[in-house]
Amino acid sequence: MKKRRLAAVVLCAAMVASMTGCNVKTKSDVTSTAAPAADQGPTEADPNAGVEIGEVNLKLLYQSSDESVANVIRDELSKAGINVEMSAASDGATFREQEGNGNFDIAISSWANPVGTPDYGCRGIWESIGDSNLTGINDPKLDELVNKAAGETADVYINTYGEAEKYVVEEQTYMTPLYQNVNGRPFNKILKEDSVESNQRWEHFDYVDESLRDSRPLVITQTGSTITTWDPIRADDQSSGYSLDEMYVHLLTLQPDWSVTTDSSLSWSYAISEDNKSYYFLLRDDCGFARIDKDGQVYDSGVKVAGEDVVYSLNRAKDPNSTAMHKTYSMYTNLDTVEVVTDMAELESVKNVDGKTMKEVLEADSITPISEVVATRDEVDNDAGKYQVVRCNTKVPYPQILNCLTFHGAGIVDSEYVEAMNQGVDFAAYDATKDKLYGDSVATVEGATYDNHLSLSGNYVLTSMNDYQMNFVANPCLRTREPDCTKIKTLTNKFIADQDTALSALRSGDVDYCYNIPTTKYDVVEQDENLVLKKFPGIRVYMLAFNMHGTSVVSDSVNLRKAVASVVNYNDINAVQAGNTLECYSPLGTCLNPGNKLSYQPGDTEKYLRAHFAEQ
Amino acid sequence: MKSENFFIKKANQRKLNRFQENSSLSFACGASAFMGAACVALSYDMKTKALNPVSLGVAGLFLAEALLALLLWSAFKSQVLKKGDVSRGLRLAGSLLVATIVNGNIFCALAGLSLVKKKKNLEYQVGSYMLLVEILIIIVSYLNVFKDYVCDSFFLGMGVLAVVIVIHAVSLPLVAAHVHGNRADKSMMALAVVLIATTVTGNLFSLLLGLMLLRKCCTKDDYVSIAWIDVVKRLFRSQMAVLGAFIIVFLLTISICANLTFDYGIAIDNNYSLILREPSLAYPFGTDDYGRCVFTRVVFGARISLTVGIISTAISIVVGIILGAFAGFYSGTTDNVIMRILDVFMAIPGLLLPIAIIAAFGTNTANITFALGVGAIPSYARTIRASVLTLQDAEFVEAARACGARDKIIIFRHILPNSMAPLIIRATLGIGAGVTAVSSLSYLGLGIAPQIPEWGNILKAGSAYLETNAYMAIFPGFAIVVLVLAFNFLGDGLRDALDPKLK
Repeated sequence: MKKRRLAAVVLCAAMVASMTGCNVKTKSDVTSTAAPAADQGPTEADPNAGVEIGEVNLKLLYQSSDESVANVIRDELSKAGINVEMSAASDGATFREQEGNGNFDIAISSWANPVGTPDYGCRGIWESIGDSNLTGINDPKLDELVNKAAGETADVYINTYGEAEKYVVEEQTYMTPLYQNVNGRPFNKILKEDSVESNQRWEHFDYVDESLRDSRPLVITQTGSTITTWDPIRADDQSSGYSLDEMYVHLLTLQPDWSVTTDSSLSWSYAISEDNKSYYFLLRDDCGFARIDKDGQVYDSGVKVAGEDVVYSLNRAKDPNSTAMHKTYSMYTNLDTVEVVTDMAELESVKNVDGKTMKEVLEADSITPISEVVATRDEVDNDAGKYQVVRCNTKVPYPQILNCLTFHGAGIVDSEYVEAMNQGVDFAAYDATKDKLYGDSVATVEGATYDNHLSLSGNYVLTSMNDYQMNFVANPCLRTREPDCTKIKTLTNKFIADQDTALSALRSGDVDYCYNIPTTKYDVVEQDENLVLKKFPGIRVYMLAFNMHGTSVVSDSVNLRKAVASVVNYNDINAVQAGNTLECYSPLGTCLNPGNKLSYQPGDTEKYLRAHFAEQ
Repeated sequence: MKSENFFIKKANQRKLNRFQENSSLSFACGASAFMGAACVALSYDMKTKALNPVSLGVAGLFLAEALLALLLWSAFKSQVLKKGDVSRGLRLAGSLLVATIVNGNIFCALAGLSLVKKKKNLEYQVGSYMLLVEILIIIVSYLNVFKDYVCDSFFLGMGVLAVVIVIHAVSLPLVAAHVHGNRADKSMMALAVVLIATTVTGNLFSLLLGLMLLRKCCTKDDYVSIAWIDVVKRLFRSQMAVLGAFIIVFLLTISICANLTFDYGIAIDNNYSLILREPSLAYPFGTDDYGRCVFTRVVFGARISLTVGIISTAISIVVGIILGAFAGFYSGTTDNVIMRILDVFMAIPGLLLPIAIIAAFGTNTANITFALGVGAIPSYARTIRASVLTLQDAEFVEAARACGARDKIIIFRHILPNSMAPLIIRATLGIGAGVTAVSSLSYLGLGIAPQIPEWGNILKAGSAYLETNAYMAIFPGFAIVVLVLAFNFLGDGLRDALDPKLK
């Protein structure tokens, strides 16, 4: 009896002894040794040194897919003494609605720049009338900077954009950078490794075993599944963006380094006038519109894609009133006129910066010398030297327009066909439940409502879709002079909303290619012997945006915004994303580096918080 | 005709069964071997096809302890069969088994405690469990010293635990010596009060022991049995039921003691330099994708799971009892109205009602508790109503009526106490269901905020890393399974213990 009592006492004593023996530190020991170092320095020079820091409560709005980053920001802010209320939006549409209504203090918002021009990287979200300006920024000085930069050439605008982004990020702190994404593209080894690229074009996909091209459908997957329209100018979301890029032909296409090219495009060649205000495109005569019959079979409509369609499509793209729910006009603000050139003398007189005439430049890549420029599609005959040339004029010198022409909003639609379909619809009083417009996705859904009325000029033709996938076949009347311009003939794009599930489908062989998988899963793909992962710098920049609608405490206090911004630490975000992110300064970061760096120092948060409370 | 051997075996078995040690030793043997096997399975890395030396070591320890228990068991068997008693030496060897508590082997430790003492009464048994809970808690808390720092109140907490352990260790031989049958020495009154006071750590066994001592101190007649103590006695006959109770009490105690000995910051603050670390001494369950200690999170998670499980069940029991009793007692219109309304609730599938309530009123712990409580009301009301209906015609109710007792008295004094047994069983199972429900809600993202440690949340975070960092999901999943199983075992045991036919 006594022995056991003794044993218990000895046991406890041993524990206490070993605890002191190991020199166990308590939390306050650790924090008290670390704290004084941080307190020194900057606060001494602070004019608001005596101001007491009060309570700050902020509502953090984020999409549930960004939960890990939201958690980091919550953690960082709460460690800095700022209380955070988490508000998760289940999907992109809810998020944008909440953001647009100003129902937040800070929000994790992101901006993708698929065209690679700095103008697109900022105009939509910074300009006070921008089509995606949901955070309520309304600053004449910023508008002026954005418009000024748009009219400058690359060597000059880098400074203007540098000034603009510094103004947004550090002077006014309308937003503060979080990170730029990395695009990890995992795919099955059945695909050729070099056929996968950063701005993926479907026609470049190819099997290692080329004999499978005609027989085996390629299965890819995307996360967005709410398709509302196949009209290129009414779609603004990723759900239809990937597909629209392939469904309509463009005047130019983008290369992975963001430079433009005529590969896979409607043009043989293009030329830029000396003043950077006129852009000429020499059109091909071998692209046609494909349509789909009642049974879902694709046929050649016999209508060639021509200058009239280009003029119609681009005028439509830049005019906010050309259709209901126009989503892409901001990008074409600087586009002035689009015309078919009928006067050969114009091509011979206008020169580029090197002193060559437009005709010389355009002829460099044409199949025959240009003998005649014609006005209508019926007269075109490239073999005989009869070409159509389209001229786009910009209001200011604006070379960035070339990149904008690669965006899905500038996809070339069938002018007569679309006009006929949309006739009689009052766009101002558009009612989605009654009015029928060209591209309504419901018409392409299998079943009773199936009435696929699309007329498509792109590489792939959408034959039908359902809740699970979209079915595409290669366009039979596209660039007929190059028989194998589209390698794989049938393609299925599956909707898998969850990236983890998409990865599982890829690993089990149900899917051949994913646009994106969670950054924390890259090593899983790399370990899988059937898969390859190619990583590219992403086109999306994540920002912590502040509510500038005037409905929040941060709207009126630049000091509070700076206090929050100074808390955000890129390294923490990168750590929870398994190191698969890139550091950035502003949404321009995907295509431009003016060399700005964030200059927050330890202790800045308190300084700005004091300044905030001193103002009150 | 059965062989002679059969009857000899039967006779031997009867001899062995007279000793409680027999069952506890065999249970210790089997359970330790199982734990060892489980550790071997866990140590196997499917990807590298290698065995993890650390968990293999733990497995070896458990298997060695199983072997020790087996040796002692066979020695025990041969001694009992030959001499009809156990030698002093063997009893002393039992203390070896007690020492196995160091690596958390409660099965062997219990068997050891049972073997060490020759004369055991119920109090000694309860006291053994009480002591083991406390020792296990201090060992688990002790793991914190391997971390970079411990919380400020750590030493205070460990001191309190040490004092409590000493009190419990001292009381164990005392109760064995001073309680005789249904009567205890008056001196035990003071010990009882001290033991009840130590319940602040959450150790319900000490509360039970204290109450039993108090009751037995007040007993005058040794031969009159005390009903609820008999129930406890029958409950302690079932190894599994007591194991269930042990786990529940352990989790309750740890969730209370963790406030002193664990640092909440480690559970909730991100630590970006410690992301996804494998289990180690400092981080026994590894760290998660934000660098938080999964072990600390699981420990703090017990608090929410238990609170929501218990309170939601309490809500549904109280409301269920009242509605069920009224419906059963005043049949006719009252019955119809109450039961039809409850039928509507019953028609809504399982988790849907809580989801709807949370969607309407917002996500927080109070709402989740309320939502789960409301969802379970109908089943309790039905159980009570059925009991009330059968008891209404019982003679004692008629007698009470004849004496002119008012309805309130009849319901609350005569009928309800007699219909409690099925309810208590349902409640223990219901708490288990509540724990799974709150975890499911969190897993679906409808429960507690993601950064708050709650088992469902931890499991959800881990599920994304099942392939690469499986420990993140295994441990919280295991915790949920163990807690629910514990409630189910206890529920089963209670059903047997409360069954009047088995008296």
